Amino acid sequence: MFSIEDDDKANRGIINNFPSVPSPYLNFDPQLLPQSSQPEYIFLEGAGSKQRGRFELSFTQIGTSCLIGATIGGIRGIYSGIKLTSMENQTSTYNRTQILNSVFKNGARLANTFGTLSVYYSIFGIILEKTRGCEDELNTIVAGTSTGLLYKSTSGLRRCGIGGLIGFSLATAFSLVTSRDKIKEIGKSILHS
Amino acid sequence: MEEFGREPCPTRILEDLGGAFAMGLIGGGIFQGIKGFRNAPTGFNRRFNGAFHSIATKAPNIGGSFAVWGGLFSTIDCSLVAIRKKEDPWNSIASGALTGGILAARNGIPAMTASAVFGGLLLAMIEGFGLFFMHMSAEQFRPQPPVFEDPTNNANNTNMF
Repeated sequence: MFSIEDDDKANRGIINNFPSVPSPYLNFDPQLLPQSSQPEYIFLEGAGSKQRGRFELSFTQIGTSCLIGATIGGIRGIYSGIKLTSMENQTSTYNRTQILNSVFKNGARLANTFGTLSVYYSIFGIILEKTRGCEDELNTIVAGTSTGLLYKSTSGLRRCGIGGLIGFSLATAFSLVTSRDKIKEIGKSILHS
Repeated sequence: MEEFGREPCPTRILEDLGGAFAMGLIGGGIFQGIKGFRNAPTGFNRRFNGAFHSIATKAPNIGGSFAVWGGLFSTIDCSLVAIRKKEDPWNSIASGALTGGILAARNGIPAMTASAVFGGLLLAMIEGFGLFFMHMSAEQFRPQPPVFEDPTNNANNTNMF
């Protein structure tokens, strides 16, 4: 054990190597602790390690996409409302009502679309996660593709295919962005072998 | 009741919004499906088409109105928590009333009042039931008072013999 009064050069050297150690009683190498780049969560005892799967995240996802849809739709509504009212010479009360109507209509429509898509995606994702018993990029891609297919399934085979393609490309792009590190590691291992 | 199972406040708005939307979409989908099936002309294909059309056009709107309620309610709830620095049933009741009032804001003062009273009563009922069941379930965890025998009695008994 090292102590602060120790004049031993070797010990001093070791202590000085750890400038971040706050107290001589804690003079161990912080690198001995388990290192991980991911955040470490504390789970309730006996609750199992799979506490936050897709189901727990789904409501937040749906809410976020609804809110994004409402925001985009609202901005579009303001734009189209102002464009509509600026053409006709009416009172300001009329203009205000018209713009508000436009904002509510557009916002609600886009929020509904986004939210519905997100609900489909979450349902497919949860089903895939539960049936396959694991959580990876394949789930994301399959869920995205089937969401696109289902959403456009009423409007003809061609549009259905286009919807599926859009869903597939979005999901693939998302997985590529989120799992950059994994892809880098795979690439490194291929290069080194 | 399960406060520990919920998200902390800013994220809770999104969670409530999403939960309300999902509930409205799925519940409204089932309801509208039955309604469209019943209201369509005869023939199984037509009934099926009617149900499908009705779900596709009306379920997202129901989900949207649920989401507006849930999101606004949660936003006001969180704001009240931030302002009052405590979480209690009054927050929920007040935010239910305010949500009802705000959502009816374009229909005039009487409609706003009615809607606010309705929202407040609804949330008061929900919170009341929650508290009631919490008290019911807390009864079984009440610690039993331990029963001790009086040592003086014993001493008296031994002395008698």
